[in-house]
Amino acid sequence: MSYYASILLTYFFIDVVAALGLDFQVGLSGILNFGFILFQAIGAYTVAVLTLGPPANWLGTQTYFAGWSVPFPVAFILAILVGVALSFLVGMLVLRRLRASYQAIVLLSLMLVCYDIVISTPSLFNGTTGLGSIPHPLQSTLGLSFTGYQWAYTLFCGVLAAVVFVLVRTVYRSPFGRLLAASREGEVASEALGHNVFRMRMVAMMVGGGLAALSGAMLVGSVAAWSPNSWSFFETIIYFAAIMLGGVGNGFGTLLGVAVLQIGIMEGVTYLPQFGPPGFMDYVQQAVIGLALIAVLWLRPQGILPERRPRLLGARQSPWRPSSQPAASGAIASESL
Amino acid sequence: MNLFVSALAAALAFSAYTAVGSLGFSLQYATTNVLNLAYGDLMIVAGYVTYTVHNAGANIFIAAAAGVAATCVASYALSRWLLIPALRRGMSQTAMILLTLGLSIMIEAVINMIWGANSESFGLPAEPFLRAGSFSWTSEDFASVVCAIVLLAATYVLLEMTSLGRQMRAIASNKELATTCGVAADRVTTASWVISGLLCGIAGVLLSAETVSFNAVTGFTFTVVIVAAAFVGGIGQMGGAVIGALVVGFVSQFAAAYSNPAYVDVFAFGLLALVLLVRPRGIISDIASQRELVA
Repeated sequence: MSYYASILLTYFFIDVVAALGLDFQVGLSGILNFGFILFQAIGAYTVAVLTLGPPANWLGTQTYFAGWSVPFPVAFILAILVGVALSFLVGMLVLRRLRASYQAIVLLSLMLVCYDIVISTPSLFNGTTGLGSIPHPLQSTLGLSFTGYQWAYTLFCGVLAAVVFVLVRTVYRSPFGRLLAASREGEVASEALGHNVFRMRMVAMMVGGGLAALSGAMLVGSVAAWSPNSWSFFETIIYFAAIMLGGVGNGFGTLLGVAVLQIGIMEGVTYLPQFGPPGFMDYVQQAVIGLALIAVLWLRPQGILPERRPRLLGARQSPWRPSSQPAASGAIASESL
Repeated sequence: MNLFVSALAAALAFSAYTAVGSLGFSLQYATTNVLNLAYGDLMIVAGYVTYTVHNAGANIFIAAAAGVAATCVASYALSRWLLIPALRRGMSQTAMILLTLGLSIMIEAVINMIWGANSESFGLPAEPFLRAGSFSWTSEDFASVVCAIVLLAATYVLLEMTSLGRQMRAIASNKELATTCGVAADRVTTASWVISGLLCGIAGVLLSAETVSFNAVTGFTFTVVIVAAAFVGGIGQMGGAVIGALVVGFVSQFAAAYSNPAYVDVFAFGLLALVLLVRPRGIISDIASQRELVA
């Protein structure tokens, strides 16, 4: 039980780090990053190939490229750097001339394509099977009992999550955070005031990508395995549903959303009586997440804990709120005719 | 040379059903202003219904008709009871995309609940239907090309020569103005949901017939190709969808034939990335720049 509790807590902390990264991009900056899970995956894979040692050690049971035995903190830091670098490249592609909806669909395609590449190129990260037996960070050095190590890792993740939370909250309330929010509300106006929206969004993209990669590194440290199953597109939607449910643009909403969806629904379902054929519950879960996303958008698009509006901007319309006026739609006009 | 000819045959068939799919996607976006990420999932619904009816002993053509009808009805129902009311509530473009994404996940879950997670296939005869040297088409390939030609011609006639088509184009280019001039936007939008649902269903049946075996995510993954075709050509234009499908189909099939056949999507996306860098509004562009999709 204690073991299970520590696992749940670890997942919570890791998901908080990831969801804060996504909220930084989506909630604060208005970049609909549907490729988010790709950045978590790159962090996880980076740690895996950096700590697994040369592939020859595995006598053909798993294949991957490169393969080093880098000490623990270095692997994590390199994972973050790789995540940031990838975000930069992706940002160069999508942030320069495309608007939000177009960006979203291109990022989605990018993620699906990378998924395809990883699956059909086993020499990269062992294809569909994925990588396993990835060493837990410092497990042998610390010399703790199994449960003891588990709790130590939970504590480590908790500290990281707390640090990230405080940093992200600080940025949200800093002048830079307000500029990002302003450019989300009115891109043209913000540019007219002389702010380089592209550069600001690029920073947001890189921060979010770095946090996603960190969360991937933390996940690999916990579960010691990583395969395409761990980063299907569905995982991105869970994160989106979580931040939308909790409320975007403020860190507390993200905490709440992760607690409810990631832990409550994704993990809590395992306690329910199973019914239907094997795997049926997974689909029920998937349908519930989809339904939750639709319900939030329909009933309370600002989320349970809405972003606090700066008073001067209070009258402006946020992309996450329904406008007070009916949309400029001919549908209504023609009905009244 | 043999490789070239066989790749040519594959590229023609692939472009054909991609063109049908991207035409529906593009038409839907232009007239309804919804960037529908559940489009690929609705495609595969047609595949599953066809599979079930075919397995129940019906002729493959009747089964295909049932599949197309199912997607068409689903497209109408979703627009009628979810998407149009959502737009009317003043939901923003970003929220609408997330809404269709939630929908896509739910459709996948429901498919898995009903049909299970195993891959299915129609089990159509494998021998070539048409053969000349290394140029060979299966019956599915042939059906794709015929369907594409007929549907493109029909869509052209609809858009250019009928009153409904004129109204659809009017709404696509400026909805407020069209409404002011007396176009019944409601009726026309409903019609375009049904017509794009029809194209979506036919593309879905063709896709499921053409892939070796399909499962719940086949349609969603095919979104990459649809999006690449629609955006490379220029979204919202009938010509754009067709040219985009041809360009993406030929480039990806030829590149895949000469390297690794598993990389069709990868090359399709590579082409999209290239177009985004060089000419983000696509080859033929009106709506992309009008709606400020690109700066």
